[in-house]
Amino acid sequence: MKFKERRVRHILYILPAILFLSLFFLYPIFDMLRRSVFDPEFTIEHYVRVFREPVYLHVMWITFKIAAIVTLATIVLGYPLAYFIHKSSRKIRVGLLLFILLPFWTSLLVRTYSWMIILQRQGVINCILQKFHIINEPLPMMFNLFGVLVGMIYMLLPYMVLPIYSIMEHINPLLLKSAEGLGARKRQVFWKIFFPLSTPGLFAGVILVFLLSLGFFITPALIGGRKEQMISMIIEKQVNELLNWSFASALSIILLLLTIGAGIGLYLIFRRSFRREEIFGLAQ
Amino acid sequence: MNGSKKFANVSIVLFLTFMFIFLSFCERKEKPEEREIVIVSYGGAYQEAQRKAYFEPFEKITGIEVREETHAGDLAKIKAMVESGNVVWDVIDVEAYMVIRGAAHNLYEKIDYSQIPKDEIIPEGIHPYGVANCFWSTVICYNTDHYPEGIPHPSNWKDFWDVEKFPGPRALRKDPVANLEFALLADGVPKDKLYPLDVDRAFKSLDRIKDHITVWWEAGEQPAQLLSIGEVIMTSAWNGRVYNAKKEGKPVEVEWNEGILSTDWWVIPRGSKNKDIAMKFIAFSSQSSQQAEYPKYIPYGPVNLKAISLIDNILLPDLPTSPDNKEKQIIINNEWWVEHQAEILERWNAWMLK
Repeated sequence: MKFKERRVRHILYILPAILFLSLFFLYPIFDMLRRSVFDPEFTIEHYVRVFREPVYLHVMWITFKIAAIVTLATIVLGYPLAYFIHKSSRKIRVGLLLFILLPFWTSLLVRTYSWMIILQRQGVINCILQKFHIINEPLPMMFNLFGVLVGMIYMLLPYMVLPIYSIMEHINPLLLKSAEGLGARKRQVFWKIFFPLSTPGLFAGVILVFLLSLGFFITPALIGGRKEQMISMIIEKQVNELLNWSFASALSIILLLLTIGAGIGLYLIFRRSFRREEIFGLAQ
Repeated sequence: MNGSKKFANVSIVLFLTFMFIFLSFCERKEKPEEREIVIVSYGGAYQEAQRKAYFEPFEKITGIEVREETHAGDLAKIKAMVESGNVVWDVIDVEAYMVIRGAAHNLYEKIDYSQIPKDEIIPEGIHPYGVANCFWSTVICYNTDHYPEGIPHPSNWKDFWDVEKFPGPRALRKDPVANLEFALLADGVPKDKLYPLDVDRAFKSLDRIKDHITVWWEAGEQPAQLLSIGEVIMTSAWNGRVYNAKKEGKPVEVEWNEGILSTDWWVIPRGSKNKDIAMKFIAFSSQSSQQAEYPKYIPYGPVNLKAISLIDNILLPDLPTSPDNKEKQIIINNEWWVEHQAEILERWNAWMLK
């Protein structure tokens, strides 16, 4: 088949998806954009307000800060976990994956409440620690940044582990064997061959975790303290209670642009890893 | 697989997909003789009480079926419904600020007061676009294990603010509404001089208590829950939820002094297809006979003044609008809040982060 014909066929394959996304995703975003500047006459007042009142940029900053901490934490916890699963025997692997996926399929709200039971002043952890006289006063693990981080890291860990794991599974083991054969030590094999080849998975995980954290609502609302305000909570109040859809749209568009910017930034950081893929190829 | 078989497979899949999409858009055809209305409220025990006092008697008397749904106070949902022209709700129970703000956005039908016993209802419960249906209170609630009978408990907002005399973790709602009033009362402003609120003074007063608040609650069940497990020993709360916890044997109690009285209302979304039946329902449930039924199932006060005399004396101590309790409280000024809420919320959010 000629190259052009194949191209056309490929476009036809994704046409239904493009139509669906255009109707239910692109169109609402353009409508939101329209709403943010027409209220009903043209105005940039809402955008001016976001930058004029320091609270909104402050909350955006907090949102991005929390998202960044959560992302780093899931990398530190998730990468070793993915590696461990990759190296495990089949039986253990299935068990571990099940442990990760089962809570993943449970409702977010239920999991948030479970954490509240564990972390609260009279909760599981504090009761055990106090019973064994390790502490005298209950530790404040809820209604603060600690609680929010624990909750969010727990919810988002699967999104980091699974992409990394799936890429690890596709790294050509012959490359590792030949490196060993040429005299590389185990550590060199890992850091010079294995790890660089696994970075596409890391990239996918980082993108997923970071972007999902930006929109997190339930966990910071229930477990967070007064300082853990995320931009999603502000937007929600404007939409639902204050009915100020134009202002909410302006906040949302700014959040969208910052998110796209973050996505582009992450892509630029990880760009080199994609070319490595082409050079060394993945196992079939 | 050869070309024609492939084509046949693809066609079948596409056909089935479109059939599914098409079928999901088909609506159930309503039988013309049976009419029904859709009433939407806040669910849980709150709606259960309305079902027993209003919905079921209404069905019995008129033969019209009441279909129930729930919402969580999403004014946005109502706006979306009315603006898109696809109004599927007929009567909605909303909070007071939603009546005023919704009316400003032109979301409701006008109430036909010729059908309503207007002079029996308290004047604050009458609005061109809504009728009040109950009184509820935001009050000080405390843990009775920590403050049993005989030990003085926080009995006004000055006490609540006094961390030396009444030490311990406490909670307030993560919202400026009612909190500004509490802050002013704690600062010594007399009950009848609250409105218009001195916002600067309120925030200064809140500064004194800010770091002593362990939990800023958002959901209605939180205060009762937090008190029950001893996570906090005092909090502001909605009286109905605390009453339920008390009945279940949890160590919680309500202090009526300096509580804030609020109202919930019936409204009809603009464009409702059963406007006439909706009006009939609102008229029916505003009667003193029905309003007196309601407190039997939930500790919320009637807005129909004649109804209070019809209520059993045993229920009175738990009702926000029994004569003893009502005089201790302040009725919230909804107009003031609707006007200032947006700017105060902005200031509140910034203040919370400091």
